[in-house]
Amino acid sequence: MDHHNKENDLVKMLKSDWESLDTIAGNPEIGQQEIQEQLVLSKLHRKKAFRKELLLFILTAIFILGLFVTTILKSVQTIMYIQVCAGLMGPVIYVFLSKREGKVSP
Amino acid sequence: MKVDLDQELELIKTAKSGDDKAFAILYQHYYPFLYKYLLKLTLQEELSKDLAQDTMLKCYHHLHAFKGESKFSSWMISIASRLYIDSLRRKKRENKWVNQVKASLSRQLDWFARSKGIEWSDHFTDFNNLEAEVRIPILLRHYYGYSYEEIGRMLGVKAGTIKSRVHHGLKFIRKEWNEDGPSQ
Repeated sequence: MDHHNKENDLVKMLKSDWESLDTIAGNPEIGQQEIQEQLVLSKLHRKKAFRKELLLFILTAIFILGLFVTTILKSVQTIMYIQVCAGLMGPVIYVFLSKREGKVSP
Repeated sequence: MKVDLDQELELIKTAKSGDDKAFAILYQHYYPFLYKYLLKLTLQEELSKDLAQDTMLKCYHHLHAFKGESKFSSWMISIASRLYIDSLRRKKRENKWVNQVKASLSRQLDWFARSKGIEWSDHFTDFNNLEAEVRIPILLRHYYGYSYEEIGRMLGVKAGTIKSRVHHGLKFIRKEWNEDGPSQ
């Protein structure tokens, strides 16, 4: 029983401390304008991070594919062809994706 | 801005369909609640502000994952708690020699408290020295009134583990106080 009372007292004191913290914190406010800006920035940031990841993924895939084909065909020239093709196709795909994204997003 | 439960559900539905204005209203409504929750864990205003903003943005991007099985505020607390634990882990990794990142009141908060004549109990210091994995369940249980099952779901831990953390955390504080108390 004593143990239970001590625990209750402890919790009471902690509660009072947390209430004091709430008093000090007041009522912090944030404006609609600031929120909208944060949302827009966050969306841009995510898009940028996605593009970066996609680019890294494609480059890694091309590199692995190149190595694989070179090993299978034992032809060093093939890897060069793949890299050149990827280099030409890359920007075309990027422009296509960017245009599509522009149409989809409001 | 006051938002009742029906309005909240409507705002969530509208925000899910891509209306940023609806989410901004939710953001504005819940920001003080999140900030105060995080302040009780971090004891630092700036860090609490940053974490509250990160939480709201995470909610914004993962709103489709909110199925309404729990309260929106519980879902936010769950995200905020995980972000806070992650931030502590990052801090520990950055300062490898520090075993535990101790929370202490920022100077500004300390000054505010003094100016309002607020004095903290000895237990408060001991509580803030506990690991975050123990502090969070104690706070959620004894201040916000969540059940062990709810806290378990929020933190992705079994209810029994939460109960044990709360029990041992409080026992630890009591023990610390019994050791320090009489000599002071």
